[in-house]
Amino acid sequence: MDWVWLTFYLAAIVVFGTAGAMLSGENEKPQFSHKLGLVVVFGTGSLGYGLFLLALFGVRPTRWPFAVLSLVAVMVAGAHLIRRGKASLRGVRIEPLHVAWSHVGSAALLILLVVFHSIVLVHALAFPLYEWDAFAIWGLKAKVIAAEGIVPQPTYFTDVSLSYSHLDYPLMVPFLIAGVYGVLGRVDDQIAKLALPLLYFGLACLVFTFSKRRLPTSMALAVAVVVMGSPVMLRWAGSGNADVPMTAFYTTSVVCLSEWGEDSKWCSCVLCGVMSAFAAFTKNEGLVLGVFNCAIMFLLPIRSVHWKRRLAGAGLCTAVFLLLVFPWFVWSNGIPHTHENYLAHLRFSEIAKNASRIPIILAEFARQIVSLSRYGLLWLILIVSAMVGWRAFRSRTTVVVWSLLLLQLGVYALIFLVTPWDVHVQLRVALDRLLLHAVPLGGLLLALHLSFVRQSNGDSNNRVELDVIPLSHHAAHPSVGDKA
Amino acid sequence: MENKANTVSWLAAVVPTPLLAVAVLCLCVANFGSGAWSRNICLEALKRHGEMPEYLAKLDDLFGHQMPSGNVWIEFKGFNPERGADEGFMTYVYYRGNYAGYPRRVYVSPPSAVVNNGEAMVQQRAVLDQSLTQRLRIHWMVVFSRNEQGKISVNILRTQ
Repeated sequence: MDWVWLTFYLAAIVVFGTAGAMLSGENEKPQFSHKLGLVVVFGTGSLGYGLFLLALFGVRPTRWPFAVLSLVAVMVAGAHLIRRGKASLRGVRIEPLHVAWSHVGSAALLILLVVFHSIVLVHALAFPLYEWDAFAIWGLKAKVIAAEGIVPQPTYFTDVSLSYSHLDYPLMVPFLIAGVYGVLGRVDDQIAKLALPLLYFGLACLVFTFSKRRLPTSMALAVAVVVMGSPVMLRWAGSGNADVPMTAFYTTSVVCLSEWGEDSKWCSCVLCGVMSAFAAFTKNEGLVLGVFNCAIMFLLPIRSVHWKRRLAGAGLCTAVFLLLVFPWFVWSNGIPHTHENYLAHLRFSEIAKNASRIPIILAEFARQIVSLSRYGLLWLILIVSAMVGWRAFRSRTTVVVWSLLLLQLGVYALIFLVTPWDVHVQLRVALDRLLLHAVPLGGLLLALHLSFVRQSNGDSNNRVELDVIPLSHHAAHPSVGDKA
Repeated sequence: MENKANTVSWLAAVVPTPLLAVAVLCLCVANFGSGAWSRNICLEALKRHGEMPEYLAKLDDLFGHQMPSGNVWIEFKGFNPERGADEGFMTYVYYRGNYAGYPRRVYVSPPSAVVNNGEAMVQQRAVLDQSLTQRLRIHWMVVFSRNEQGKISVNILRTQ
């Protein structure tokens, strides 16, 4: 019977996700994996955020809101389809995954991806919440939300004797877990992690699609394997922590940002804003990364012949981002910041005082980068491919993604510089999970550089994205619009 | 000049596929080699047939079922917080107790004490008195005792 109710949960994700995929519009050449990835990541994020909005109106995540939510979403989707008629149905074109089955390498890589996903699935659904952070931070919040809702604010959120559970942390993962409790009608922290393997799957689809647009299938699959099979990704994806969900939302936002840089469709910058907001609603790091996305959006108009459209897109993205994070800020305003409160520590005096930590932090970053047992060879082959495929730096997309990656690493280094805790302990405990957030970006950059390596080799089979602006709604103009 | 172009072209031809192939092979070793986390978690899942790890099951049963109503106070005897393992155990019990026992509360200190981490929890431990028992509606006191051999025993006392 549980699985019947869980179908409601999954249906809500699919319906929300399909709406998001519709919002993304028609690409020049839509790929099934792109649609699938977007449906899963957007759908899961929308479900968590939607439950939060409902909870603001005093509705707890029980079976009824799910039924109503699904019904409303189905009606909206149906009305949309009827209004647009058959053209809309044709718009959702499903292009089969072009895996050359005769090619043993591609088949082996696909099997490897399936094996990795099975590991995440087993970890998520065969174990209860047993990781410290998973039950102490996210699981406890999910129980509170499922039992008491968030309006009026439960006493938990002001109980400082529980501040080890980070009272002020964002609530995406707790709401996703509470949603499972809601449809089940009871607490079951084994099934609770249902949404996590989905997000892992969605992330894999998006990394593959991004690579596939630039590389042959076998190489795109290899890039996806290198990212999704990195030990640190497998370790945390099904644990019940919020790191991989945040990574999924953030990576999707970066993919949308790069699409906006390449095709300039309004839906890309709207989706970038939405996904950045979802990342911010999942972990505090996501808020900083979302701000970086918006800042980069505002840099795109520089040296662009279509600077007005770029500027308007940046404004739209930022407006969507702020609009979606605003309710969370308002609701969480009164929660005591008894824990790290890094924002309060970000003072020049504090940074200067802790300057002696810089060598320690840099050394640990370097040690992590070469750690095969955490990231495989990802960072090392990225460095090699960046050197060999240096021509990729001529592309605005490459510059944008590198900028985001370096900003991300910079801000994480800054966190360790001002942390009130023992920096050695913090580095040992948290650095691998923080660098995990950057792993998919490393994969995207790998694809970009390898595509230029192949291009310089005279291989014209792959499609190398140029920064183009479409003149008409559907067709991309074949001229370079911006200069990197 | 031509040599340089040839070198670049040769690199471009040679680098991508082996680079990715080595990376994928390396991942296979990292994930499926002896002692790898992925391998261990799969073996553990097969071994347990869906049962919870024993230590978790015991703690969840203790805080979730053996004390069905009212709040809980924890005391630790014979533990040395200076030892990392002892502090880790005490912290895990407090965190897990609050998780498993919800909506009931599990205390080791008055609610005004800010417990940010295990170290703070250990430092702020208090002794339960009559006023705290009534104010916090403590119905149960659980005493974790560690003897000299390192064996841990649990006593459950009814306070109200």
